Amino acid sequence: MAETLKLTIEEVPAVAGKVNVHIEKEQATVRVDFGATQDPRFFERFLKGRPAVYAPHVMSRICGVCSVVHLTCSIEAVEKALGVEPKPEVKALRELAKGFENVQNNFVHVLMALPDYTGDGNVVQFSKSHPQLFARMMDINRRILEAYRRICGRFIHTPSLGVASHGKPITKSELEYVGREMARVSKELYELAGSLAEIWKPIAQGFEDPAPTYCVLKPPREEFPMFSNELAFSDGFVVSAERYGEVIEERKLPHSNAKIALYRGKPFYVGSRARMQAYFTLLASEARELIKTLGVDFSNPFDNVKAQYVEVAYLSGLLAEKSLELASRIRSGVAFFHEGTVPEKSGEGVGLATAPRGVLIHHYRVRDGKLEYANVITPTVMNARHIEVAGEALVSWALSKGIDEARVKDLVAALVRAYDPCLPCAVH
Amino acid sequence: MVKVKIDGRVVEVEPGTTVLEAAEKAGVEIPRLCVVPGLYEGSSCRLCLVKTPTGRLFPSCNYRVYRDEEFLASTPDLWEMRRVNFELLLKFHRIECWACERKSSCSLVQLSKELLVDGIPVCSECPLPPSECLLLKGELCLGMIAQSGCNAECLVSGGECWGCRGPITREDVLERAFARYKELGFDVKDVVSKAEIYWNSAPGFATVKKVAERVAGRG
Repeated sequence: MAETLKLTIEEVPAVAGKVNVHIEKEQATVRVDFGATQDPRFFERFLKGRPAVYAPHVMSRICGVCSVVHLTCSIEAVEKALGVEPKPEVKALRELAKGFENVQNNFVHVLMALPDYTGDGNVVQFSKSHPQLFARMMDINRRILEAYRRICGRFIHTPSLGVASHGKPITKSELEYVGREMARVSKELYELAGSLAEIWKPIAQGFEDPAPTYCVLKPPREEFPMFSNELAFSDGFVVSAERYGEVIEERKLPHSNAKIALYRGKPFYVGSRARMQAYFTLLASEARELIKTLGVDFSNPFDNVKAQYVEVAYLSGLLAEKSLELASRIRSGVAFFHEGTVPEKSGEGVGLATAPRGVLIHHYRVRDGKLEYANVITPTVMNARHIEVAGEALVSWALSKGIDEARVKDLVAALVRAYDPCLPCAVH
Repeated sequence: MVKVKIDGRVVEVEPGTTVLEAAEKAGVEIPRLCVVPGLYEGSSCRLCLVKTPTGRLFPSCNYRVYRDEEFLASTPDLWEMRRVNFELLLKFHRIECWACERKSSCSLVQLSKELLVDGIPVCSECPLPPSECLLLKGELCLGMIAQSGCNAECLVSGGECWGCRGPITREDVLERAFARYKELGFDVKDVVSKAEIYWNSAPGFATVKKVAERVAGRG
């Protein structure tokens, strides 16, 4: 085992956004620097002085991949700040939209990260070695997007979701179609798990997460939450949305343009791995069964992708139920939930949403309808320090097992991909 | 029968057929506005220009073939001339798509898209009828001053227009649009401030601001 070691991964492949990873080993200490090199876009700055109702539209542009979560979280925050209460149907439709994004996004992430686990290396190779499986997964993705389009319209930067309103008229028959389609998708995903489990080999078996603290949304009622007013940590600590600043601290590090977030000075992680542990009792029995089938090891960060697959399968079923329930509440024909103007008030609001990759926080202070202060903490920011800590442990673990340098680099890149397929939102 | 060759496609037609009819038979698309078969054959829009390989220009609706001939109908310079002619025609059209009941079946809108002509607002593609306009509900939609061509994606999904494709630069249209905003009780400053989000560095934004100031100053 070498005494000193220096490795650099320039622009981690197969993720959106530019991230360089530097690995340094001196004597027994290993350092991993996770540096986002793209330029900041100052989203939190340039909305100052503009009407708060513009925030959702603009903030959704932080990320084109998971735009719905930024949009909906921003809407929640603005509604809280302005004291607006949406109709229950609007809220239900927003939760549906959010759920759809989690399903579609995590499903695509599974597809992108899977080649690391099957040994194919990249998606193109994967599509060649497993053509039928790949075609089936692409078809499921297309159907999820089609179902979303029926309820909300365009998937990227959805224009129909607004403060206290849902712009697209909804018909009972379309909601019923979506319900039936998602039930079929969910069933197929459970079926697919068998053939996936065969090719889904574990990476770094035996490697344990060095910082097992995680954060999720506290469910406001007994079901998988999309939005909430409280954050829950794995050590049992629960904090209300407005007081997130007391425990979560954002820091700027010199080697990265992205900030990092710490929970009481320590790294923590967010995402499907955290959610599947925290909401285990809320899951349907099939989903719990699926965790066993895939052999998800919650102490291994690489198994985040497996946890995502479980979440996708479970949430598809939940969305089917919710769509059908909402359909039963609409009598017939077309229902409009388009509301007009929003009052120009003052106030402060913090929106919390379940993002595909973790917990998203949007915090706004509004004066006379104009935005005065904005703060956004994205899941990638929360995970950033955890990736470094896990990376350091992983490198030490791999070197102690006698794994060569090239493979160590691959492992660290795979680790980054296991957390997140896209990193631009860390620099917003 | 005579043989007519248009853009390389040969068709046989009766002597005395117009080039436009021959082109239709050959499957070559030539734009036109004024011709209504059996009703008006006056060749006044000059959008159906075609040329001979030697470069002679004439309106295809008015030229009849009596011998074997060849024509060109889709060269870049022909399209450029059609665009200029169309712009001249459009100059005298009072563009007010937001108040127009005919917008969904408007051939001007169709042609302006094909010819990439400036001045047609997103309202022309908006699925909402004028009586359901978002502006009437108090929502600040930038459709009236924004460049069309997106098939009003956002309005189809139930959102308002943010003008992401850039501003219209035709001053008379802008003037009418801002007057309409004022009439509906919107502050012109708010409109410009919203437009700023996408247009701050757009080439036509200076014109928009100039017209906005002029309209606001009218009191």
